[in-house]
Amino acid sequence: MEELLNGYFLQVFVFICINIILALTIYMTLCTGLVSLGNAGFMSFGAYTSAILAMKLDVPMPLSILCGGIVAAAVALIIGIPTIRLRGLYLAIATLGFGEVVRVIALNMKITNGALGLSGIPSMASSLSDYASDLGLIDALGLDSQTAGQLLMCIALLILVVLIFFFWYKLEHSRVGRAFAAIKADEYAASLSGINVVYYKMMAFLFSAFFAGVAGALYAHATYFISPTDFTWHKVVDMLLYTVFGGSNVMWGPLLGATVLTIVPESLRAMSEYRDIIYGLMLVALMGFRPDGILSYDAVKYIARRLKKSPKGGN
Amino acid sequence: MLLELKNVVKKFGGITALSDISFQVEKGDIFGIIGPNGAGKTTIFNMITGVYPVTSGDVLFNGQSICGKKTFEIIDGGIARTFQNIRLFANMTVLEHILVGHHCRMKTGLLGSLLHTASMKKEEAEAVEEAHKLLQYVGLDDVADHLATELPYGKQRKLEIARAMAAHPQIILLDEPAAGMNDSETAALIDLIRGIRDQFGITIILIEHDMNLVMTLCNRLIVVNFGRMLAEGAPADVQNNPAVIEAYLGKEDE
Amino acid sequence: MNVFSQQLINGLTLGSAYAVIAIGYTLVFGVLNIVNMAHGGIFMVGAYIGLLLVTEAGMGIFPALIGAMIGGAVLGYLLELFALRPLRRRKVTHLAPLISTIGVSIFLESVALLVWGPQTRSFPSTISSELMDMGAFKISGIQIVSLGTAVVLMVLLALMLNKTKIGKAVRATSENIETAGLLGINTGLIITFTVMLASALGAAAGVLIGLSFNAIEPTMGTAMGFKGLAVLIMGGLGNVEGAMAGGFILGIAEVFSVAYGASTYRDAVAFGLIILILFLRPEGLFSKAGKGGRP
Repeated sequence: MEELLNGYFLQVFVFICINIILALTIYMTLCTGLVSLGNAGFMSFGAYTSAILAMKLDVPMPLSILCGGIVAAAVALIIGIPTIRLRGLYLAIATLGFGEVVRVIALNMKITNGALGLSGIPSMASSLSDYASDLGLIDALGLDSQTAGQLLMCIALLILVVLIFFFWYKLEHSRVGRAFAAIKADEYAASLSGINVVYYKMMAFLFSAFFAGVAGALYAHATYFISPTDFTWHKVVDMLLYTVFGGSNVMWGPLLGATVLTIVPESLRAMSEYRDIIYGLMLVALMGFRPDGILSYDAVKYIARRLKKSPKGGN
Repeated sequence: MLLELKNVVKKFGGITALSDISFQVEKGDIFGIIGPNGAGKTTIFNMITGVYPVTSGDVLFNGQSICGKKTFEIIDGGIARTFQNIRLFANMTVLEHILVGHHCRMKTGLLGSLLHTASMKKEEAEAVEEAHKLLQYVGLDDVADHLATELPYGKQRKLEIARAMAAHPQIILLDEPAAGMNDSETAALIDLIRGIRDQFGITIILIEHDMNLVMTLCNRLIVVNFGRMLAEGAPADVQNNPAVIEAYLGKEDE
Repeated sequence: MNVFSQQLINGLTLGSAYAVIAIGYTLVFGVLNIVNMAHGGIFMVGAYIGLLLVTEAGMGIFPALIGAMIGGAVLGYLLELFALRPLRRRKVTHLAPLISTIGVSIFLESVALLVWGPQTRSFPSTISSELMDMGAFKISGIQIVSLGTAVVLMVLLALMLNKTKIGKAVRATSENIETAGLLGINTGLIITFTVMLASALGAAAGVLIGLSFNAIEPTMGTAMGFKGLAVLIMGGLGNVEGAMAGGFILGIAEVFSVAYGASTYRDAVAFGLIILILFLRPEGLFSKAGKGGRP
C-alpha cells in the first residue's frame, strides 16, 4: 500500500485521467465524423481561464474549472458557426489554425504572462487536502497531507472520468447517440432521414471543447504551472494518437489508448528521444494496417460475447 | 392538393438540369416519374427534399411553399425518401435504422438522452415496439438485430422504404425501388407499395425504369427528358404519346 | 518615404514562397481529396538538403535547389508508397490519410531533430545580401533569387499543367478521378507523380524560405506547413491559381501587419485571415461558382 501511494505513481495516475479525458474529446467529435484539431487550443483556454480566475479572483476551484470548460465551449461555438456546415476538412484546418492563434495570443498577452507562463497556480491536491483535513479525514487515514491531497485528487479525477464515461455511454444509447452514429456513417442519408446534421455536429463539437477546457483546467491545477509550450500542436497529435491507437469507433478505445500511451513512455524514459519518431511511425502503421485502432467494433463485440459466456455460462 | 411543383427550374453553374417542371400530386396518388438516365428525375426529388435550392419556381406542400426549408425540416414536415443507390448506415442494425428514421417523431432531447429519464425510456420502448411492427409489415423483423449492410440487396431496398416510413410521412419519394430486383421480388414490391398507400394512407411518388411496375402501380405519371417534361397523364395516355415513344425508342437503340 | 513599396516587395518575396508551398497542398488535394499534413515536413527536409548541399558539398544555390527538389520528390514517392497508397486500397474515411500524414510529419520533424539538432542554421552568405537601390524600394540579392525562382517555378508549373500531356492528365484526374480512369489515364501513376511534384515544390519552397529568413530548424516545417494550409483554404481547395494568389495575399498581409503594428502577432495573421474567410466566403476567395465546400 505504501508503495502504491508514492507521489510518482499518483502523479502518473493523474496524467492518465487527464489524458483519458483529452482522448475522449477527440472521440466525441469523431462520433459525428468530425476531426477537430484544435483541442490543444480549447485546453489552453480552459487552463488559462481557470488558473487566472483562481489566482487573481480567488474563485473556488470547482467553479473556476467549470468556467474553463464553459469559456472553451463558447469559443468553440464561434469557430463552429462558420465551419461546421462545411466539408469536414474545413473544420480540421480551421481548428488547427485556431490552436495556433490561441498559442500566439497566449505568448503575447500580459494576463497570460507570455512565454514565461503562469506559475504558482493553486494546487488541486492541496486544496482537496485542506478540505479533507477540515473534515478530519486526514488524521483518520493516518496519511501526511501531501499524499492525502494527491490521493484525493486521483479519486476526484477517477470519479470525473467515470462520470463522463457513464453519461457519454448513456448518450450513445439514446436518440441523440443514434443521430450521431447516423451522421458519422452517412451524413447525407442522415439529413434525409430527418436529422438536423448541423445541430448534432455542433453539439458534439461543443461537448468536445468543453471537456478539453476542463482537462486543461485540471492540468493547470495538477501541475501548478502552464505556459504556451504545454498546448502546442504536439499535444493534439498525442490526443489523436491515444484515440486512434486505442480505437476511434468505440468508447473503450480512447480509454485504452490514453492509459497505455501514458504508461509506456513513462516506463521507457530512456527512449524519450525516440518517442516522437515511434509515435509518427505508429500513426502511419495504424492507418495502413488497422485504421480502426486496437479496439474495433468487431473486437469489442467479440470480447463482449466472450465475457458473457465465460463467467455466468448458466445464464 | 398535397404536393405541387410550379415552374421549377434548376441550374448548376451554366447548365440547366431542370427547366419548367410543373406537376401536381393528390393525396392517395401513386405518382410516377419516368425518363431516360440523366433526364433529371433524381434532381426533382432533390428539389422537393431541399437538397439543393431551386433556381426559380416553387414547391408547395399542402399549399405552403417549402422552398428554402432545410432538408430535415422537410422530412419533419412529412416528406420522406429513399435513394437510388442504397444508402444504409454502416455498423447499424436493421432495428436501429428504423429508429433513426423515427428520429424526427421523437422528442427526447439532450438532457433526457444523458439521464435516461423515465419519459425517455418510455418513448424509446414505444419506438422500439413500433419499429418491430413496421419491420414485421415489410417482412424484416426476423433480421432486426442484423447489421443492415449484411442483408441481401432486395432486403436492403425494403429497409430503406421502412426507414422512410418510420418518419410517419404523408408522402414517400421512392427512387428506383425495383432497381436490381428480379420479377418475383418486383411483384412483392408492387404489393408492398400498394399496401403502404392503402393501409398507411401515404402518398407515393416514384422514379422507376421498370415499365411493368410503373404501368401497374401508378395512377398518374410524368415523363422527363433532358430536364424537360415531355408528357403528363394516366399511364395509358402517356404510353401512346408520340414524344414519349420517340424518347424511349431513341434510348432503346443504344 | 517609400515604406509602402518596400513592404510590398518584401511581402511579394515572402508571398511567393508561401504560394509555392500552398500549390503543393492544393495539387495533392486535387487528385486525392486529402490534405497532406506531411507537406510541411517535406518542406523542412528540403531546406536541410539545400543547406547541406551548399555547406557540405559546396554547391551553388541553384544546383542545391534542384538537389533539394529531387530529394523532395523522392520523399514524396516514399510518402505516397507508405502512407497514402495502403489507405487507398481499402475504403477509409477522410480521417485516415489526415492522421497518416500527420504521423509522417511528426516522424520527419523528430528525425530532423535527432540528426541535425534543435539549433537554427543558416545558409553561408554566398549570395549578396546587400541591398540594391531600385529607387522606390531596395531589394537584396536573396530576395531577387527567392522571388525570381518562385515565379519561374510557378510559370513552369502552369505551362506543364496546361500544355503537356502529363499535366493535362493531372488536371483530368483532379477534375474527376473515375472519368479520368475511364478515359485511359493511369490514375495511380498520376497520383504518385502529383505527390512527387508537390513534394519537390515543397522542398524548393523550403530552400527559398530558408534563404529569405536565413533560419533553418526542424520546427520550421510545422509552422510553415500551417501557413500553407491557410493559403490552401484562402485559395479554395484544389485550386492552383487560388493558391498562387492566396500565397501573395498572405505574404503581403503578414509583412504589412508587422510594419504597421502587430509584429508579435505575425504568426496569427494567417489564421485570422482563414477564420475571416470562412465566415465570409467559405468556398475560398477564388473558387468557381458551384464548386463550393459543401458536400
